[in-house]
Amino acid sequence: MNTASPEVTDTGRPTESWRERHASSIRQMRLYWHTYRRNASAMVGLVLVVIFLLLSLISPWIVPYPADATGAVHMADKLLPPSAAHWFGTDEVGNDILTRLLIGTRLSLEIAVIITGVAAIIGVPLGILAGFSGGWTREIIMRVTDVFLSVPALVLAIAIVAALGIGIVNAIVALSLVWWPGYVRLVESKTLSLKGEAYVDAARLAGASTARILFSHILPNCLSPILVKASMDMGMAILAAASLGFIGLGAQPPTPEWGAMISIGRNYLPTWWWYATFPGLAIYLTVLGFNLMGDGLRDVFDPKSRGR
Amino acid sequence: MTSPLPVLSIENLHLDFDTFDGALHVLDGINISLDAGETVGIVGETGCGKSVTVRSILRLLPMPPARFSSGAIHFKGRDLAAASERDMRRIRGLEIALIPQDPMSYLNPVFTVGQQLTDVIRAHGRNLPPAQRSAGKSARERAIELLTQVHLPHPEKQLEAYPHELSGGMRQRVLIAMALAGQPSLLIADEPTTALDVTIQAQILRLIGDLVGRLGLAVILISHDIGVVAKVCRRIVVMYAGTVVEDASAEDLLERPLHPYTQGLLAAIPKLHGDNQQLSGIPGSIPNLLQPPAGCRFYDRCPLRMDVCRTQKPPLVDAGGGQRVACHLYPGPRQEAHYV
Amino acid sequence: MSDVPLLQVRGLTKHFDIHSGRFGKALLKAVDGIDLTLDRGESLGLVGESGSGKSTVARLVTGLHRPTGGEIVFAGSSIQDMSGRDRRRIGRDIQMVFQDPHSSLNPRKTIFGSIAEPLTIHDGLRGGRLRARVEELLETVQLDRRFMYRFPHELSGGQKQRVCIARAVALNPKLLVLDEPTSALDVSVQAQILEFLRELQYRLDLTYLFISHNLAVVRHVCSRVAVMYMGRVIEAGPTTEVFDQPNHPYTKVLLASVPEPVVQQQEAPTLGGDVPSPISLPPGCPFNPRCPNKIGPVCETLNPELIPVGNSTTGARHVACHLFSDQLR
Repeated sequence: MNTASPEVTDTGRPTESWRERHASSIRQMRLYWHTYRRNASAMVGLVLVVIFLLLSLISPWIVPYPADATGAVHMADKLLPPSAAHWFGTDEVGNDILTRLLIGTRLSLEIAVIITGVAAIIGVPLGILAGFSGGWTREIIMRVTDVFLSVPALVLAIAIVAALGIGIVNAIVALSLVWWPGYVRLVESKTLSLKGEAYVDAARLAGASTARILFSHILPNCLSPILVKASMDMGMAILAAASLGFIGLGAQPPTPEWGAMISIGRNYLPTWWWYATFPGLAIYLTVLGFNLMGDGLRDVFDPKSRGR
Repeated sequence: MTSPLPVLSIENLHLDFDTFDGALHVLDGINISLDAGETVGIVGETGCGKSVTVRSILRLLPMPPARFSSGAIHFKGRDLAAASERDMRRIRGLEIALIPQDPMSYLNPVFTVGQQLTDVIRAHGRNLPPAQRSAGKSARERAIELLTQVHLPHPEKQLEAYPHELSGGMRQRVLIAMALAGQPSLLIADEPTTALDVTIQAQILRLIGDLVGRLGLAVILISHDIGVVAKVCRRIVVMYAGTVVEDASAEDLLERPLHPYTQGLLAAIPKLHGDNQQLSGIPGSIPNLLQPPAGCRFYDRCPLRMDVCRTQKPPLVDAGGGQRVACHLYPGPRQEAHYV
Repeated sequence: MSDVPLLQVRGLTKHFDIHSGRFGKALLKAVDGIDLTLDRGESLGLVGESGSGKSTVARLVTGLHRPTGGEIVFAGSSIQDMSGRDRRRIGRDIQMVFQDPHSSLNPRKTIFGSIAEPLTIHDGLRGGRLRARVEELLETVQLDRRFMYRFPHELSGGQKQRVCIARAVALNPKLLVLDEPTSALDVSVQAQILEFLRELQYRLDLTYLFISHNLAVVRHVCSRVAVMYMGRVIEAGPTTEVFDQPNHPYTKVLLASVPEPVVQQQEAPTLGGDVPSPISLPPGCPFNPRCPNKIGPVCETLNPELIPVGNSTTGARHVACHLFSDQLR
């Protein structure tokens, strides 16, 4: 005698509201938020990141001298110190540094998102595949990853840019190509530990295909470490792009990229200090913000440090 | 005839845990005492507070967020709840030793058994009073002596072994040897056999029983398995949701349980022999420790509850013959009660 | 009751290649040639300590491991060599409840998601019909339907195990393999789950393969029992008979080692030595190094076969021990 009726009636819409149905998720999010909020440095990081995001969104509409962003030349205003008209002073062709800095924010965000995004899109699936498959698949993937990891990322990026030609686009391409191994390592080790969980076996018994297991069971449980790493990577990607720009391999003038600005600005130290200082501060605060936020996220997700 | 002073006496201990959601009232007036050479078992299910109780004896809990809100823990006359960390360090291992649940987590995998054991022996050697120090013996000799005491075969060879090379039962013996190294007067065993196979468990329990007899130790044995406790202990204390509900000799408790929770617990255990009767569980779950009930903590799940149980906490009283119970069914002299 | 047993296992073997020592490889004989029979509607208990191979048997029967040798016959068909689609179809009929309720549910999926998975994969249910079926299953395991929206960490151990049972019976399986389903639960919760499992068996016409190290639990749920040691079945028969009058020396010691909540009158004999590792099995009977009733050289050289022994009133009893080989003649 079975309880299952082959003709299962459709109950139509669920009786509970959306809010009731997702009460658990909502509560979990609030708990995360409360844990995060109690961490002072994490909040500082969040504030910095939010400011960064806001500025990158609205910069084209708030800059005082829009023309300066693309390098209009006003030699009469060159190298003016910070004043009411130019809060951060002007550069050697008379462009307002504040304007270029703000537009550079948008560029930095693009850089961060593209590099981190591409790295994750390449690295995460490879990592899950390596961790889950084992055998030769894993060997091949991990050894290739090792090769990439053994060369300092920046050096490799320089080599790639040298081959492709200098410019911000190629710099982004180069960095995206060298960034993914970190994700492979992270995800592979997490997948290895998740592979043995009973719910993966239960899914197999329920008839789940390998693809379904990877997508529906493994991947969601890898998200926390991926999110933490991605958050920190955003800042580090900006720093890496700025480094390439600093040595002249990345963005070229008149693109208002922070690293490129410092590269030129350093020639004007110490007398015209504002030229190199403000872009440097921008990089510093942005990277700091993402790092602090990443640390905060890690503490939120780590069950051991939570709840006290 | 005056009875000797108990070795350990926990008096009306209240312990709270400060959490994000508020203060958890984990222990609500615990009263347990132990004489020299006595074996007491503490049983209870998840959340009853048995592990917290013994860890607070040794102050192994992180003291914020845990804190004693009232009560005392008297050990040989001193109040451990009020002692300094320095004093506690002199007591841990030396006068009170702990045998933990999972031997693998308590042994360092990169050092040999011999290194870890001699480490402990030397550390305690400094703190032992001169009369008790092992006269003339080296730490290694003492280590072999201890391993022989716990019936570890080929002790000299085992000194060179790493923890992962030993089986679960052998590791537990090593931990017992380490516990004995300081010549303690009180031994606390926290679920010492839960991670072991049944036949190995029997060996270890027998070993503990032997050692108790030979060395005259006082022992507190904690387990969720009443059968395990019944094998080693003369007296059994039953805890529920941070309170002591019954405290009696093993014989009295197993044959004539008084508290409805004890009765329910015993009725829920499947029997190895005899009729295959229906098992009755105890419906419901432990109360919310953030806002514990004003009266008896077992009120919601008790089949014999009365109105007074909801509002007043039952005190732990002697219901006759040394059998103590905290239940309004037994306000004084012992009465018969039946679990329906 | 039908004539064909629901499950028949013959000579089932599972060996693992493992690294041993510095460079060596060794063979771990987790399951070393076992025979089992399970009739429709029965519950067979499989007991043993660590290294006995009982959990591996569970995984072999459900298809999570492929056997190294032997045969598994389910409802008349040989299934150990089936692959892919056929095996998935059989998967409907053989389901499993795992030991640790805390890791048996995906922490990122709601209860609804976990129970719905087999239904979406096999039956293609969606939307309102899917929800209706999940609600029905929750009702079967006596959980309020609002549990659907919760995550595993919000449930107690007993509630989680009920969810796992609901998931396991979602496809109306014929055989349910339960691997230590109550070992991680408190005694009072265990009692509820055990009673519930007994009742569910009648209601849904299920057959149980119940694996446990807890003999009293097996006594309560299973009509027949097989005792395993080092990958072999060393005794089998009706539970009450095997427990009240054990034949094999290991069974006797196992029963005597169980700590019962009764006042001890005398010290029961304990077994010396350690549970050996299944990698370096001694020749002959695997139990011979620790056996208190060892006869002599034959125990050290010849591995005893599982043979029927006559002293049974309610069903066939088997034992693998040289003490009984004379009875055959």
